Amino acid sequence: MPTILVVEDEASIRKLVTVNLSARGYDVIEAASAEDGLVQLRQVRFSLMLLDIKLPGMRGWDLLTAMSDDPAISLDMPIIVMTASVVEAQTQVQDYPNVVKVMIKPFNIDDLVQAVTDALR
Amino acid sequence: MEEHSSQVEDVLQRLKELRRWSEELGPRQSALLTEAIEHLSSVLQDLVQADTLPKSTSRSGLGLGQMSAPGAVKPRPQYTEQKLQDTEKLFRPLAENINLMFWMRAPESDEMLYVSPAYEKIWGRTRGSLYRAPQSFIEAVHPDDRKRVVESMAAHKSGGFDEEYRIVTPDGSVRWVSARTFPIREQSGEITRIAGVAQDITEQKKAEEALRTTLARMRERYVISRRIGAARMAEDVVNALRSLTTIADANRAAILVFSEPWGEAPPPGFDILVDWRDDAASLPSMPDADHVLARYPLAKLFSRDGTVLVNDVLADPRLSGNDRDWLSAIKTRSVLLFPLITSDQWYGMFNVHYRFPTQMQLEDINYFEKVVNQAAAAIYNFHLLEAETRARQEAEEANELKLKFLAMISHELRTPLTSIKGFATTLLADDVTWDPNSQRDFIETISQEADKLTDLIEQLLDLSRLESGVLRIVPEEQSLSVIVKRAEAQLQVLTAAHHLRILVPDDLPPVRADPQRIAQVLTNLVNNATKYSPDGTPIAISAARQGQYVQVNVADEGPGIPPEERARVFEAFHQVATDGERTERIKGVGLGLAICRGLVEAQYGRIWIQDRPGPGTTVSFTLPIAAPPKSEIE
Repeated sequence: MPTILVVEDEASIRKLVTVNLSARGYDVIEAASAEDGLVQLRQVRFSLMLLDIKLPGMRGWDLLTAMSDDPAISLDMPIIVMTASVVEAQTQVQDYPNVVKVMIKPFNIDDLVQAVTDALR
Repeated sequence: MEEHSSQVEDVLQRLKELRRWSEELGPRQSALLTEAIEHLSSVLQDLVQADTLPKSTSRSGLGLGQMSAPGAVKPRPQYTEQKLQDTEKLFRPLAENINLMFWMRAPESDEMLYVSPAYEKIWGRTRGSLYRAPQSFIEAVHPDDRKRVVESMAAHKSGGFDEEYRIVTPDGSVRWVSARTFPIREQSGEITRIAGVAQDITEQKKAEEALRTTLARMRERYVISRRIGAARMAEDVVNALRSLTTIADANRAAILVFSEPWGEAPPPGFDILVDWRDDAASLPSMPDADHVLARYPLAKLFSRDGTVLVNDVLADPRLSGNDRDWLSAIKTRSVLLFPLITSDQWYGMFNVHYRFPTQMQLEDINYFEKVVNQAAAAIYNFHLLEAETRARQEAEEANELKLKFLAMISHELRTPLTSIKGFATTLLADDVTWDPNSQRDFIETISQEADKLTDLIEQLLDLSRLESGVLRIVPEEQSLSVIVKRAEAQLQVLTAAHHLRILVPDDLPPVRADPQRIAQVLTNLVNNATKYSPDGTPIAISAARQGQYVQVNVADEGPGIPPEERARVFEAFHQVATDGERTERIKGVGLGLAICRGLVEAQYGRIWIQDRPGPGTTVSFTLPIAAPPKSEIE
């Protein structure tokens, strides 16, 4: 089964995403910060990453940069970004071709699930 | 007189000896020698006599027709002598009466044959003194001009001297004279006399000088006007003014602007718009007396009516000892104070400081005043511009802060909404059936997130009300221990994982405060303490009287707040940076302390983090003690 990484500091949103994706048959691994996410990325080969932007410590965009700098991490996976800021997402996303979708909070969870399904097809 | 007499006596004595010696010569030589000696003696005696006679008759005639002293001049043929005497008759009345100084000199010698009475008026010396000592003519010349005059005289021994120079009269005053000499020749062309004419041109010279100064000043003012016109800030105007030669040696020039125009009473405050110093490194900057005009030592001398000059601050009775200390600390010994007035408003001062006492002429000050008045309008405009720029900058900063604030609020509101909406949708999913436990779990999460949202909205509303001043505070006179007791139940719930200690004595004087809001502050502070300190550690609430206030402290044993953050934590949305260990973000949005501050300050108290060494945080706030009830006063 495809393995998905969820990087999100808000526990309730993490749970929301995990619950919905697991119910649809995906394996989900959670990370509460970008640093934790990097640790996971080095150990596991993920099929997709769900990434919150506003994280404590290293920000979401910085994580993407760190990923491309790190030879141990495969960049060959789609990324879906979750953020509350529309403007920021629009400007930053151009630098990161792997980002296939930006979800603006509060998003419809069904839309998220659909986006994941589409990206993994 | 006596000196001359004794010298002449000496010569006569030698002449007697010479005559005795001449008797040893042959008869013819002896006769010639004797005749010469007789002639010499009588002339000498004439000279001595001349000094004791009244001055106007010491020389009869212009010296044209007489040779009364021995010297280099040869005896004249008779017809020339007559001609000279006729000339003398014509010109003597003229010479005696006009203000022109007129003199006659023997050619090839310094001997003065005649000097007109004007000499006494212009040179301030007697004519007799000049006859006796012709070199006094040179001695009267001003030392700075002497070289030039002497050289010119030497070059024009036969006339043609034409110079303007200064003389110094015996009483020390300096005058300008213009002197010319010309030769007087007989028909053969031989020079028989050198005539001289001199005039007092002091007034003329003064007028020339005044004109030169006026022209220089006109030029200066033109240049300065242009510079002021090209100025782009107040400093430029000060630099333009500094180029005035009258203030070239100032060590400081400052522009002060009052907080409001000085009308009937002095304004409360002022700003220093410009503080130019000639040597910024060694000259301390002007202390601004906290912008309180009454505390500025020179303010007592400011006047709308005109420029005030303090020649020497040490000698001025208007300044106190403290004032003088202040002035010597900024190396000011004298000062010029110009009021700056535009559109009839006295809006500030232009002050020029000197490190030495000054001697300034009134006309210099008047001139300077004119230039400063010209600059006053320009300075005022720059002051306005600067005030505007500052206001705009502050508005921009405030705006940016607001935008940041809004972005944070937006994020904080969207997060719980995401969960609420998300779990609701999850429950309603068509393609998944959730077991009852999961359902319950999701509904609980919705409920919790809704609570969080409510809490956040309440905090935001409180903060907003505090900011706009509409938060209702209902102060009562209440004992602090009662307030704390009321909140105790809630506090115990919060501190379930910690050890709550309440150390509030019952006998504290009652405070004037809104009990509900104080309870809110306490809950907030205790809540923070639980979040930031490890489980099981104590959280202590204590209180004690401090003067007119009661001080309350909430202390925990968490990691503490770094000194540099202790003031900033009271800002909205500020959160203490977590150390690397704790990756879980501290829950809560960071409004708690901002609200506490708003609540405490609205009740005339203060809130701060104590400057305590070691780990742990103590937040302290004060509440005013309630004034004693009327019955007690009576």
